[in-house]
Amino acid sequence: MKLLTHNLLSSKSLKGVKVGYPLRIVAKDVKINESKFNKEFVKKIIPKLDWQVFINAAVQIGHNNDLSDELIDDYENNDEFLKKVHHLLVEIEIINGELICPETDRVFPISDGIPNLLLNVNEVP
Amino acid sequence: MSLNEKNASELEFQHVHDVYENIASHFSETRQKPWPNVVKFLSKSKPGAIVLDVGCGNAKYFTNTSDIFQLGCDRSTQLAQICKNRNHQVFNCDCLQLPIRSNCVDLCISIAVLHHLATSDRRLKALREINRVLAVGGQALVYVWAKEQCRNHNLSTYLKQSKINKPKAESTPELTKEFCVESIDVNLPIHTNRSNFIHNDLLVPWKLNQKKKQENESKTHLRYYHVFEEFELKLLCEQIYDCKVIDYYYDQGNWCVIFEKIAI
Ligand SMILES: C[S@@+](CC[C@H](N)C(=O)[O-])C[C@H]1O[C@@H](n2cnc3c(N)ncnc32)[C@H](O)[C@@H]1O
Repeated sequence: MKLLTHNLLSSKSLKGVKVGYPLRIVAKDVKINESKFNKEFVKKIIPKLDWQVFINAAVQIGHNNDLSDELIDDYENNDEFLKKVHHLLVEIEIINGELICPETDRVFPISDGIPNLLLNVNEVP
Repeated sequence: MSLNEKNASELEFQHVHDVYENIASHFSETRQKPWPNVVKFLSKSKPGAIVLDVGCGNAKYFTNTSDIFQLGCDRSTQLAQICKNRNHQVFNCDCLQLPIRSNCVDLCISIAVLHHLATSDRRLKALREINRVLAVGGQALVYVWAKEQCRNHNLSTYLKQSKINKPKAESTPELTKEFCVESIDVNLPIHTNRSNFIHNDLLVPWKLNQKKKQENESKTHLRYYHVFEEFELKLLCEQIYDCKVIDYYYDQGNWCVIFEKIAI
């Protein structure tokens, strides 16, 4: 699971949960997959992120390299910045760990890189 | 057919989810070729787009581009594993509860998934979920199996692949055997593969290949399907208030809809 995926996931469908976002991350096993830097992609994806959630997630898995939780202004022309975002967003892969609902503490396992967000019949409203 | 929620979920569990878990690798071997009109829809994505495939199976519609972010989900852990082995982003969930925040997906596809849901309410719910996660202006393409396997005197590919169906197969009768799903005490007809549909809710046999025979896996699995009538899918979409149907068409034995999330 990449941090970009995490940025989109929510546990709102659980019975009684109001927001269910962001999910806390426990990373037991993290892998770095180097991939080609696609500047256009990173530039366009940044405004779609919940930036603070992204930075917090990076901190939680112990990988934040000096990015602030306030998005800088002129990021589109800052290659060094965009490359850091690229690294955190798509190169880091959580292989084993957990996602945890912020309201109920329900644990969703991540194994082999695949988060399992299947709910039991009695967990849905 | 009318089932309560509990029985519908039980039926899907036994005759959809369990079946896909069991046939995953064989299913994946036989599902390599993307449908052209789905590929065409996906080619509309702009750089930086977030693209979601609901019920992605073996990730047949994923490409290796780095211009967009492709994310897939499926109920089957076996199929998700196949996607992951191909280096795609995937997670497990049920399409009735997408674990995705609202308003963030630019393009969504769900190909041949909704016909596995056993009530009209559930099929509508799945469409609502897709629409919920779409960003305003975002579009979704949904394919479901059509009851009509013959349109304008053309046989669908599904019927054409039949060894017994000659071109004039329009009237090929569906031989009906019934199967009792004991846990919910419901009888469903077993479909004769590559024939026309008479029923709307049925079980379609999947035979595992010969190789597996030694492993005692040569079992026939019965997959539950609800086949859609001509306007059924469109009418469901029209019940969603912040959703606009952009296109509705018939393709290869499927009813297909493109809809867009609109601002309210
Ligand atoms: C016929 S396959 C289609 C796979 C893929 N979309 C394709 O076009 O090749 C149906 C898929 O839907 C998944 N599926 C069925 N019911 C589902 C549900 N309720 N939630 C999520 N996925 C489901 C199955 O596991 C299977 O992968």
